[in-house]
Amino acid sequence: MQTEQLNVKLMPELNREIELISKVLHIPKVDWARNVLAHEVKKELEEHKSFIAIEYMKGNIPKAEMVRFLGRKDAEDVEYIMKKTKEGFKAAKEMAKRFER
Amino acid sequence: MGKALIVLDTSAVISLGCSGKFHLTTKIFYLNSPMRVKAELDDIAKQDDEIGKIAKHILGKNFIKFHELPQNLQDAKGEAESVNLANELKTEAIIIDDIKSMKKLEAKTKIPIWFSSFIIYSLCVQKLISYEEGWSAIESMKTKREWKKNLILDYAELLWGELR
Repeated sequence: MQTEQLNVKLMPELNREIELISKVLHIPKVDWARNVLAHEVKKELEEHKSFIAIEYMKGNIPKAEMVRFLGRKDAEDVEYIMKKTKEGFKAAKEMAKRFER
Repeated sequence: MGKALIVLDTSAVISLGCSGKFHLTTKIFYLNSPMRVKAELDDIAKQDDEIGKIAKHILGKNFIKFHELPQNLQDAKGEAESVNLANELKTEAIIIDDIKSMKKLEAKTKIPIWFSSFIIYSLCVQKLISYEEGWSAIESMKTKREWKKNLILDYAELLWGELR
């Protein structure tokens, strides 16, 4: 697997705390830091993606801007969610009429 | 009020379970699922967390009629088997809360596939719950899920505001 390096200078206190976690969990501190970083990056990215998608849904940003931030595939999914939800709500109303006694 | 025949996949059962309104859905829908969904719910029910408790509760209450499909219609995935069951029963709708599966499975059926927000909205339009209760049910369905799954509910909330 191709990797890239990121050098981070830590405060001695934080470094000692990571070493302690590493000892408790029996995993190298670099592996632990990599996992935590990957988790946080994913979480942060998803929050930003959600924000952009919701702004588009509210009509606050144009489609081109959403595509620029999310990419074509995710942008298509956002539009799909909007279409299917609208259609589902319309179908719920029609079904209610059809099944009325 | 008559009842509509629908099929739920595992993602929809869990979403609706989180809404706290599952018991009311049986007043307007006949709920059906294939045995693959039951197996998936059985696995989830073994987990010692909130979702596990919800799955256990739903299974215990017998809200859903589970169907054993012929071998040629069985599938390793609950959502695919749900579509096969809906085709067999000729149901009004299939409820799935997974965009990827939904897109793929739409090609395999003529029966409409909706998100679980359709069920909550149906409860509102058929006056079993108020719009305020519907909005809060949608809010409760937002669990720690993948961002696109929560987006389904975010958009339902936005529409809710417009429709009130």
